[in-house]
Amino acid sequence: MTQVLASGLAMGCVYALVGLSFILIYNATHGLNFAHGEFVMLAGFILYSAVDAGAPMWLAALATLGCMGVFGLVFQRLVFYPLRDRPFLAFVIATIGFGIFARNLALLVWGPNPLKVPSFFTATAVSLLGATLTPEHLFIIATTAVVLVTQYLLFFHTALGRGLRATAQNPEMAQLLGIRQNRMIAITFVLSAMLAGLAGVLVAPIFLIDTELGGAVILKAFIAIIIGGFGSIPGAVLGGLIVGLLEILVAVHVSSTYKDAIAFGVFILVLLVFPRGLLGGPVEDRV
Amino acid sequence: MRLAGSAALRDIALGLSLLLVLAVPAAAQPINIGAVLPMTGLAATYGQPYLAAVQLGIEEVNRAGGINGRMLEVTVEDSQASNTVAINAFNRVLQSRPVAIMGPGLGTQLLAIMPAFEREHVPVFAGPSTRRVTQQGAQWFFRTTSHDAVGKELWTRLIVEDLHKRRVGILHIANEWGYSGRDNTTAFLKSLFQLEPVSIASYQAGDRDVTAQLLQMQRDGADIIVSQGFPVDEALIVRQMRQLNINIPHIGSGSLCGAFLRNLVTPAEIEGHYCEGPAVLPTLSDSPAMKAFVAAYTARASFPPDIYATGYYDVVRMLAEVMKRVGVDREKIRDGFRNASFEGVMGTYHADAEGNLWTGSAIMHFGANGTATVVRRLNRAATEATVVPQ
Repeated sequence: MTQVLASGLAMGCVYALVGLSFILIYNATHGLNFAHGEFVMLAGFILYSAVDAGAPMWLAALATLGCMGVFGLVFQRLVFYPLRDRPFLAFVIATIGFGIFARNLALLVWGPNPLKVPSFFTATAVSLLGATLTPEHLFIIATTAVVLVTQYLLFFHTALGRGLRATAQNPEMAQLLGIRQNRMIAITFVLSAMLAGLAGVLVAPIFLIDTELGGAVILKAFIAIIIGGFGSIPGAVLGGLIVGLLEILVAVHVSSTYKDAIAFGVFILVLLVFPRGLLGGPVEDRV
Repeated sequence: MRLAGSAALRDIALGLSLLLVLAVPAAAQPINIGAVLPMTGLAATYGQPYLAAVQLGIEEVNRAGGINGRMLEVTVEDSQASNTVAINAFNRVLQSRPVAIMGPGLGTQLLAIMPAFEREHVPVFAGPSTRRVTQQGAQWFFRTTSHDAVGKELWTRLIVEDLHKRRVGILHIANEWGYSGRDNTTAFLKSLFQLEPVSIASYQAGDRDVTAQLLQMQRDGADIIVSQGFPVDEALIVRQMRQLNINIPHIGSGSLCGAFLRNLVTPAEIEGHYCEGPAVLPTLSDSPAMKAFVAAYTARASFPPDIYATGYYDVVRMLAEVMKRVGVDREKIRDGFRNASFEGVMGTYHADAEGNLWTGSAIMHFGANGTATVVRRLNRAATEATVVPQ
């Protein structure tokens, strides 16, 4: 049972990280980035290239996060910025187009053969509470916990964090108060891409890297943020953990064939009972 | 007079031009072969390696003079991992009027395009192991590899007779091909040994985490696991069994043979596992022809060919031989395939009543340092077919 829970929590953490990075952009711009799965995929490929160039895993991981930060900035300037005054659908369509472009570019650059990177650890298994756990799963859980604490400190205990939150809550007022809106949005994209990149770095050693790597996590991450409450950062984390645990518990104890159907069923039930998600705000009537 | 002379010269020039237009292309017009393969998406791991094999076969035929002086060319359309896209891709390939089409190696896509190629009367060649594909009464389809009723009988016998295991867990991808593997294994367990699988689990295409399914097998007390999935899936099963410390024998489908050849698993990870495929790994062959093919293919694709890619290469060369004999008429090509035998780099191809060109199977066991040995083998093609020397 410990194995099952560790595995479910680890996957839940990955969904939480991807969901969190998705929500950061949504909160700052009200834009839905449907290329977010491709951010995860690109991080996997960059990690592979760095390792292939001879870098040790830790250095390759840091280099990947740096590259993803730069990529987030470029993405913001090329895809979001020109469309910032257009209806939000324009950005959505642009991100869908970018996703297709990124997958095909990856196919051209890295080829169709899935790639693998070594583990961060030499041990393949560790024993804990009588169960055999994988160090990768424990590493994902620990890293996610550290990232969440760091993010909390950044958002609630630094001037930058206050600026980011102010821009997300009321961009016009933030600008009137002297907060540079465009800079805050650019920083948000950088942070978001780095978080998605971190998810890619964490899953690359346990999965294989190919153009579908992002697709494997983005749908579940999307369910996670809706269950948690769209726009809620704690909700994205909670939703991720729920989805990760739910799918593995259903697969092991009920049916692996119908695990996704059951997860979606629960998702619909949650929305019926909590229309704004578990940690979303109250429902507002539109007149 | 001068005007009349100019007109005559003009008419002669026009006539010569017309002759050139009609005569030269007729002799040099390339022969088109279609290819509907998953080049992008979830199944791109199949499409691009198969296309490399097809292109290599075509290049070799062309270098040897083509088909009675006419060169071969290939028109490729991407079927992705979708039946609808595959049907559209098939219809687009038809526009280039191919003499034959190399189809996707996915049973579900072939079943989707089958009505179209039966209607259009175009021979289609592909290597899915999904049993049902050649049980539809199709007249224009030829399978380049063996099907699950061959391979799964072989692994069922290995499990019970050689490994003495009786508690079988079946892990498969949730598509037509996965169900084919599951159903054939279940049927052979029942009919040969009166056994039932103790655990059956599936996963969706694109799923990257099969720990839940593996833990389910462990919970159900399986003493051996057989799996049927894409190369990425098989590689993940091997890796995740190791990570979860599940130390029971595992036999993967032909995709695991491919995953090994394409370096998706390390020698340490695959040590102790088995893979079942239509033939012995091309890299284990001592045949000079196979060695030459492996070298040429590896230079092109950057990884060695798997058994299924080898089947596509062989069937392109068989197609060339048939066309040299009967011409480029589609019906004559189909009949040529029904009656001919061909010695490819993998062995002897000969169509049975269903259109299966190959009916062999082999199971390899991986040892230390990536070595592989054949532990059980069946080659009905060599024993049952009447070989016609080429």
